[in-house]
Amino acid sequence: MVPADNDPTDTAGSSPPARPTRAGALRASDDSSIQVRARNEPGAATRIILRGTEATTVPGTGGEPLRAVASQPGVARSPFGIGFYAVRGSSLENTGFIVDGFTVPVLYHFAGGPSVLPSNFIGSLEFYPGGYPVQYGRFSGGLITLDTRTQVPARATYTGELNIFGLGLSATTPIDRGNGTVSVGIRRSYYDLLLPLVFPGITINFGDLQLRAEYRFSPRTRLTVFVFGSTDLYDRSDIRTQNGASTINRDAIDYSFLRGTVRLEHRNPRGYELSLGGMIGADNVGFVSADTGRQDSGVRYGGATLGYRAHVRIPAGLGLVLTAGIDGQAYLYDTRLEFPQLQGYAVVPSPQSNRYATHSDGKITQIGTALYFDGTFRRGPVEVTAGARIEMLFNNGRWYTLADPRLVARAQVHRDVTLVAASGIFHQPPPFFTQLPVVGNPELTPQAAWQSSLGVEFRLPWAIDGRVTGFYSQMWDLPRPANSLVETAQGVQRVLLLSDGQGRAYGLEISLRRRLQERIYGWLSYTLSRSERWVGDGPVVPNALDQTHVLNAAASWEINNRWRLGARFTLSSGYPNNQFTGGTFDSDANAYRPTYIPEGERLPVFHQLDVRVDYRFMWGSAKMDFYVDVLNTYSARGTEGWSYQYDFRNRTGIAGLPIIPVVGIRGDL
Amino acid sequence: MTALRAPRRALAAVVMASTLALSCGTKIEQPQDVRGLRVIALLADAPEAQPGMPVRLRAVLGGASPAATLRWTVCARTEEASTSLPISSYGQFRPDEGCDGERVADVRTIFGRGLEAMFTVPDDALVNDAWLSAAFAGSLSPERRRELARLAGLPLVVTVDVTDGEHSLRAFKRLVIFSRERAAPLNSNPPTPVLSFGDRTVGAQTADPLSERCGPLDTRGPLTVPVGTRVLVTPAPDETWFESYTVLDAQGRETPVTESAFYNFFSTAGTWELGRARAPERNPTWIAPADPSTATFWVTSRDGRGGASACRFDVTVVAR
Repeated sequence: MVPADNDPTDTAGSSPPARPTRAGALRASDDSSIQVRARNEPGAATRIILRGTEATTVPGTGGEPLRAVASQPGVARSPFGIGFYAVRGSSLENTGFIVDGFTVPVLYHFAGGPSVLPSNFIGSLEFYPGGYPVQYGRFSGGLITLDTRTQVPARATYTGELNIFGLGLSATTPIDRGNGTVSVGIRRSYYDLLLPLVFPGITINFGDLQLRAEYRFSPRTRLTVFVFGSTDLYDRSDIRTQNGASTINRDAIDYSFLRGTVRLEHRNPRGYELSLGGMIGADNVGFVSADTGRQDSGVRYGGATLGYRAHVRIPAGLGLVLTAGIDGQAYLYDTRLEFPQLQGYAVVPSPQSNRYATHSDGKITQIGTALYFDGTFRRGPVEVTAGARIEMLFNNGRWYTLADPRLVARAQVHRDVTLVAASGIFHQPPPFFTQLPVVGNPELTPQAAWQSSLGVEFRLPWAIDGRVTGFYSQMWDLPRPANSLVETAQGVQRVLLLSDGQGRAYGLEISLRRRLQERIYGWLSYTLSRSERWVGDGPVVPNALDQTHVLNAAASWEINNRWRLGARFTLSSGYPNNQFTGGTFDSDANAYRPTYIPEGERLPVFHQLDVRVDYRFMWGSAKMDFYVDVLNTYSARGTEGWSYQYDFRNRTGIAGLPIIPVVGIRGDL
Repeated sequence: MTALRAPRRALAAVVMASTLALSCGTKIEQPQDVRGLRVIALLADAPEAQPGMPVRLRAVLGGASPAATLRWTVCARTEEASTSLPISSYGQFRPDEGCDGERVADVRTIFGRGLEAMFTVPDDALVNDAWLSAAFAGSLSPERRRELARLAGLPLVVTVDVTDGEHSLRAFKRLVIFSRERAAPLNSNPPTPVLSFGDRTVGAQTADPLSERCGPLDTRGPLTVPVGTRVLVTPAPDETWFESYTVLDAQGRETPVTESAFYNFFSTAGTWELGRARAPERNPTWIAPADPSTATFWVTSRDGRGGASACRFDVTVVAR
């Protein structure tokens, strides 16, 4: 899918928005990046585009454009900087990641690591906090879409980057006299070499690779082939618990995926567009947990995924533009489960939780085919986009027909002021981890959200763009924990997840942004929100990541052509937390069961200051950027949770990440 | 294995676990250190029963003053699906709190306010719809619940509330009721553990299966150790008491199971290098305190299906 405002046939330097290259970052007059436009993407309530200097120099992101999403309005702070976002009151799994039109399971490496794609492969990053357009679906919260792109250099170029996380190398070469490019990239962490020196027994490593080829048959027709993959491993073993006592155990998690995509794009001079794409990929996810001397227990799931996409855009005249398309994706997963036996019927628990394991092999089959269409009608200052997405979803032997109507209206009421209203339905198939046998429920139904928003976008003096948006989202059929005996075809079974959770989220987002001008850019975003969940007539409780206030401020000043200095500050309310009031001794299990008030308290307020300094210089013909990106500069040890005494009468805080100075150097040759 | 429920939450949990070493703040006490009023174990003779049978109950307390009073109750309640699953953010999925809180049915007071109480299983226990609905929560018919109770037994919950005027504690254990027609024998408690305490042997001093009173089985007098001594405490490897039985697992399948021995160690002074023991790592080391004192020890033995026994003995820590 080619954004309407983005010519797919552009060549290096001919497209107004600068690409996120460090070479571009050397220029003080580089184009702006984080754009909140009065005339936004038709069919999208809000689209925040990250590209250029502002996306790669945000303090606290290690130069990763994808990490800059965390400081956008509507995004709740994630614990430990994990790469999943709770957007506008949705849960972490409700915000999807799309690369060149197809879903990927993760966008970030473990332990605060970089994104799975280096910045020089990212043409643009579009973040939809809600109300995303009809060509996308299967996520009931927000969406982050990446469009890969590489410049067409006059000769082969090479990029190398080395920082505390790892080493990355990439190269791009023109082919056929500049009609195409071939790019390769590879990165590898060296956590696994350094971390054991500080934390014996911990292994963390990641790697990713990219191979991308792009060929332009004509100025308006482009073919892209992109193969990329990522792997992450976390393994903690032989670690003694707090105070040097207690057990020795092992936890491990690994995550890997591979994607191969092909995309053909054509744009007619009269505005017609056609985009065809296909994808084949493989996913593999595993978790392991074990006590010493016991058989490992864990889950592994993964398999093949296939996708296809066709999209057309037709200017119909009289101010009407039509788009339509088909979007399909299939997951053919195998699951393998070894899990501590769940509570049987009238079975007395033993003091050893994983005394007996349940072994279960299964399959998860999810095939979705969606037809979508919308029409954008413009007349004077008014633009209305109405459309729908109809999906036939096959999930574990059951068929669902999901209808997602969506409407977006804009009215430019003043030269510098635009009103935006949007409403739409967004369905999401059950996440895979909820469909696992035994611990999940393969019969869960798709969840849904009805998202609505009303906002105003405006321009102020001093190159400042502003946006104020109120939003409301009603959610239903959410998967929620249960403990219920139900009659099934296989007899009475204990079910741990049901699809009858409900929720709502509402709030107000305010953002002010100064475009890069006179060597300075910056933004201020504030979100006031409330996210709630409940079941039936049960109590209404705040969602796990609900944060009443989230404030982000970032600014960067290019002092001269060599030095850049920036800072980012984050302030947010603490997460809701079950307020433990003590414990009841379960004599059979020799364990204490906590007594608590559900969501009865919140973690302390979180605050963090990140500072980044860039120093750029030439080394021979190489453009070098030496940077120090200090996360949590004053080492505010925010509390990310509590570790409890065996009987829940005392607790100690689990501190967040300490100060992390990311020192790195990057060279472009 | 809480991490298995949700990869994204699991990722957060994994990161949290890795930063536990960075935790700071309040000192966290270890479960094997008895520094005040504690319920060490609840014992029932027998841990499984049939309608009409009397069941003798006993609370093994640590650090209790003579003024401590106990209140015994019995009820049926919905069990946790697993002791290792996460707690919901929906206000659901409440943990076990004995005969208190939500999802508790037909609470009955057992007469007896001391360490021991007697409970006679009602004749109608297996057809008590209030108990059956609470124990087998879900969308099942009354007939289906009665069938489940006949097949798997009805788990009742015996709760004891202990107070000594300063502290209040609550503990519970399950008492599984089977029909009289059931062919399989009822479970019995494991024998009181026999231990090696350094080079001494410790065992039961009475024949009462619920008595926790233990002491040296040799004639070398009271147990004494010098301050700071490291003592290996080892249960005797006599585990011929293991029984085999059948349970209905969470998927409703009959699963054969054999008992195992689970030992736990407690003391009022000194420190433990490992508080839990089960073959093969069942030999914790106790380190005597630095000052002379008397330490009271408890070692409990469980069979993993509700049967338990306890052994209490004193050790005098003397100056070198």
